[in-house]
Amino acid sequence: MTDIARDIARFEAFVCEFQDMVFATAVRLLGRDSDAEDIAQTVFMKAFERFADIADNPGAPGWLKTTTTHLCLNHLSRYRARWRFFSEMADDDGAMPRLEERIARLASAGEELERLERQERLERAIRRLPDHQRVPLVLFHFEEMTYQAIAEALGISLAKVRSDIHRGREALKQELSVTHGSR
Amino acid sequence: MDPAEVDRLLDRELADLPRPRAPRTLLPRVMAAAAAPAHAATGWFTWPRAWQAASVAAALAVTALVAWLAMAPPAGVVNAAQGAGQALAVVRVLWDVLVQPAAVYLFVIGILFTLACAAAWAALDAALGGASQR
Repeated sequence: MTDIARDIARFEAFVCEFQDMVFATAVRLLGRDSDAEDIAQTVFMKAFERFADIADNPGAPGWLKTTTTHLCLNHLSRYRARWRFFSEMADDDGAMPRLEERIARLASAGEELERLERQERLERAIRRLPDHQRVPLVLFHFEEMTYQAIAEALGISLAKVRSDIHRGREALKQELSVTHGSR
Repeated sequence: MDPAEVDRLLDRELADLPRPRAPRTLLPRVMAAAAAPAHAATGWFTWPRAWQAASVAAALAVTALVAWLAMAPPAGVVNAAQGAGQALAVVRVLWDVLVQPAAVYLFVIGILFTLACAAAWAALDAALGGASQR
């Protein structure tokens, strides 16, 4: 086996190991499978270019996550102006209905089928969120970034990050309540 | 359920959310993209060491042979070169006397014949109502 063939085989194992992680980050940030697959491919090609450095590096997963996040934010940045515009408009909308009372009636999920269904609905709800809510929410909950780091990454104020995450969470709570209410 | 409890419920749901799985098409796409430049990298620097050494030796041998022939050509080589030069002169005379005067006429005839064929094909196609396109 030549060096190139051996590198290709090692790289294939590398992609197999991390493809779910990279794709999950991309699809939650972008909300679209096709865009996420394109970004994931770009991330792995960047990894391939410097594979000698990161192949056995314990920091490889972190590098992949950071690169994925940056590429996704760059991908979204072409819509950034529109995103900010609608985000500002969204600040004026009416108060969200109080969901706590509805959610209070919810019983804990007992059966596996119901749990899977609820998770699927929640995942879809995350992807349906508008960009300006989904991106900071995903960065906070799934990428474990702080509010301050999110504000710096997106170039928006800390208050805006709090507001957008709060609104995103309210929408997800509503989805949860619908799921539980339909039982 | 108080608001704090609702928040905790949502946090728990988000934490328990399974990670989306990559589509099956991703791995083949990435490997195809990764393999493309690898196949393209067939330059001399990517050859095995033995091949590189052999190619260097062959290049040196050819250079030495050419230098030897240029500086001290053997009689056989000189005679062969003279014979080739005479044969080339004969071919050139034949070209100038026989082929070149007729070349222009042959070219014009070829063009006209091609145009005539195209016109005949177009006329036939029109007569058949475009049957050749179906």
